[in-house]
Amino acid sequence: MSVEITSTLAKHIAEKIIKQPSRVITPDEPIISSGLIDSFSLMDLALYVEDTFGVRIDDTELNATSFDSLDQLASLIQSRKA
Amino acid sequence: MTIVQLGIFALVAILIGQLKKSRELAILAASVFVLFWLQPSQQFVSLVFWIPAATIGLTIFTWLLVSTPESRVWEVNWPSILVIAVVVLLIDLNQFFGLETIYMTTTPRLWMIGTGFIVYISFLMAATRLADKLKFLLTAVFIGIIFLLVYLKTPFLISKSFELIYALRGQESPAEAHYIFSWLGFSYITFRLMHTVRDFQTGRLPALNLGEYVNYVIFFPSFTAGPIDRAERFVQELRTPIALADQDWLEAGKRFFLGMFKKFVIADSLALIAINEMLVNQVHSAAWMWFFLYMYSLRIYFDFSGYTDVAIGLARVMGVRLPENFASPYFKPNLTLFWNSWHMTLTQWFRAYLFNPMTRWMRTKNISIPLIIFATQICTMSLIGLWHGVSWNFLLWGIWHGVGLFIQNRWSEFVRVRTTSPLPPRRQLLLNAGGIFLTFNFVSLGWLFFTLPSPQIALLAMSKLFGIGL
Amino acid sequence: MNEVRPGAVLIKGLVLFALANVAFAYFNPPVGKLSIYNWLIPGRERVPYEREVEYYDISHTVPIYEDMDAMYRSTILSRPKGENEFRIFLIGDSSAWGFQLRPEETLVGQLNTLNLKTCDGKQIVVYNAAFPLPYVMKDLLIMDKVREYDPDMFLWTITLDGFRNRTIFTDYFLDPYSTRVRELVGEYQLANLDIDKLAAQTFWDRTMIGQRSRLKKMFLLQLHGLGWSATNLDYYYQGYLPLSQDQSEDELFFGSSEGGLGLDNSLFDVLEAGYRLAGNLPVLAVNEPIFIASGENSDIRYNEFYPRWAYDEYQAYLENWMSANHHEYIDAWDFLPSSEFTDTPFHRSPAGETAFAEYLAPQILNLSCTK
Repeated sequence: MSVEITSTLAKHIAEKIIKQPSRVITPDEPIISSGLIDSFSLMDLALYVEDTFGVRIDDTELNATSFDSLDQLASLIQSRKA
Repeated sequence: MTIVQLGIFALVAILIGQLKKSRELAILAASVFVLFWLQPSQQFVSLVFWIPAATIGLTIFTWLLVSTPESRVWEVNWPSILVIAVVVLLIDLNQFFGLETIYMTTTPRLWMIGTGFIVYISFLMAATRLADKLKFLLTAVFIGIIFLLVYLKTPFLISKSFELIYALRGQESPAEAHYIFSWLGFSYITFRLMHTVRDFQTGRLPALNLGEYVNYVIFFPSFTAGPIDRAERFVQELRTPIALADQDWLEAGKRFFLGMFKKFVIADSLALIAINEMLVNQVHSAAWMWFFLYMYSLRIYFDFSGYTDVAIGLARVMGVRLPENFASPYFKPNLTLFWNSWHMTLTQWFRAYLFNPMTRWMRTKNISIPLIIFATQICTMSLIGLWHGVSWNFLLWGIWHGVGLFIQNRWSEFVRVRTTSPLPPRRQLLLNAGGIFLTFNFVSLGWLFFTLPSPQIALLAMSKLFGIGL
Repeated sequence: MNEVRPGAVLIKGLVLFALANVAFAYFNPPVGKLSIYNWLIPGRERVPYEREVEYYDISHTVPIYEDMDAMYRSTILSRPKGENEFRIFLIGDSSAWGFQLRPEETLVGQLNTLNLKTCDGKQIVVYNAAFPLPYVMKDLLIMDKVREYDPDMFLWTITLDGFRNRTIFTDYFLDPYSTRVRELVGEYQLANLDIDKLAAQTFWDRTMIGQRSRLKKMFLLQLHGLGWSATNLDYYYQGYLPLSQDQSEDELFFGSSEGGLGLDNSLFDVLEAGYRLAGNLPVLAVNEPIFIASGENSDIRYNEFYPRWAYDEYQAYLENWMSANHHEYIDAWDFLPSSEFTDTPFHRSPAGETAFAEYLAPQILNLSCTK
């Protein structure tokens, strides 16, 4: 389940957000603190998560302390779904 | 804050850290006292007492509005109320101990604080009765705090009100330069109050009792200059029983002494060779101008991050881990990463409560992406600028960074879609070094608006830096 | 991995700090000789001097009388002597230092502009060793100190005010050098200097903690060097009010009235010590020009410092003393018109300095050749 979420997210980020479809994003790679995703794209990612998984990520959670890797984001999503 | 004061803070913090019970109350007592102790002298002497009193009053009032009925019960809160009341009363009674000259100019007569207390309690009772019925009271408080902040940060409004007070008293008002009014810590307190109000409205604020809430807002290591913690994180630290290991002591000691060294040795020395109006007028060499500008960049970093280190160290020996505020900001290859590592708790706050909501709202409308990015960056950075003080200089500083972030964002986008494979490591390294150089210089030039007294001087400095008008 | 114990770190730190302090007090290292001047940045043309705290970040200077090593290492006076150079050190007070003047406008600057050569063809270079305090004992201490920078001659400007025998308490300049002052008093039998109140340095005073103010100033002096180097300004030119020709009718000179000057008990023995200290180096003493008023009460006073009776008495005494001791000197007291003074009755204008330099030049050439 978690793998499914991270690969969906990785694909979305590579294709739609950073627009480098060939870029591989590993589940444990830091995506916020590394600067891969800037604050604007982070909101796009949150909107995508809300549309795709039906889970709300609050404005105050969009930072590297709440989640910094796809793994962490996936577990946040799962905990909300449960 | 002086070295002696920080030394006293350290001793107090160490003692508090030794308490097995009542740590929360001891921190509360110390924080309330420090709030009064550090308040600088004022045009109207009585304000030295009444401003900190108002800070506490406002904090308790806000707590009443953002707490749950369960956390408002008397059984939980009476020790905190007692501690606050006793400390405030002792400070006032100080007039009888004759210690006023040591830490405060003067304190009001007993009947005055007695009356003040009764008025305040009646106000609280009325407000709590209304609070449940009138939801807009919370929004009103939120807006009220913003208005108060704007007022305090606008020199024009301050001097106008002084003139008004003197006129009402029928006195001649002194020259404008002599208006002394400052509300110690209000800039930072605002963020904490606003964050709890917003999170309460969205149902994300945990239930806090009075002691926890007041401690969060005026925690003495961080209330004057940050870091700006989040309430849920802070109380979690406070609720965890303290268990200091050797590692905590080493870390705390390292942060405290390193911070003191950064602030009082490095930053204070650099202050003598950091760019200022006089140097801008006297220096006639572009190279020297760059040198003094860089010295300012280093100075402000060492001063601010040094103080943050001290605060983190002090909190650590009391069992509280404060969030980091700086992460090598001058070694970041672009402006976005710079702002993710400079005064981080401030930028996180603005991201959570301004940038993200604004972006979210604009994304749902049919607005072009570059426009959204431009508008949100300019708004956020301008407000961060104006938070330092309502003046053209701070506004220009904010716009400088807003525009910089926008350009950098567009450039990254432009490069990214054209980059298919990762660069060879050597070129990547070179690119990073170039990015660090460019970012540091861009930030340094921005400081001209921040530190020089007027936009004209800042522009003169900028032209001299580039060899014009030497 | 070894566990690090916080208590042990603390104790180790304190012990090392204490040891460093004891070692510092014991060895008394000449830290003042460490300087970025004449190395990373050019040397100053005169010693740093600024006493108002609020001007520090403007003029980039601190008064650092506590450490003459640091003071003179920051000036070009401490450069190695050129092969064909004849060095003259100017000793004196604020008028020699050059208040209200840029370095090139001072007496030293003007003498160097004249490009003088000794009779055996050496280039005469005059260096400013003055410190703004009219006090001959301070001059003697400075002459004693700057001997190590290889002078060939001393030019020494003096005035009545410098001979007053004050209480040591007010003479801040001597305190840091109490040991050396006592030695000089013994060596030259300076009977009139009251050294009883002079502080004695304890071991504690010599530790880094005891010396923290001096160490801090030395450090700031290096930092201010950068600002000075960038702006070439070594003084805060704040402007001044011109002197009034009108004087008060007060006849007192520091509390004494006519007949009470007591020059026999003043510091003329220090002047003699200066000549002896210089050894076979020539010393040209100059009684410096003063402002001579022409307005109201000018029959009572020459200026705000000197009532006529006191200065006249001093001048006559100086003349007798010099001839009795077989010293040559120049009395330039009335050399300049009153228009050539700036903010005090001693501080000269740029034009005044030009004239004064030209006046002194032949005498300097004369004395530099007698060797």
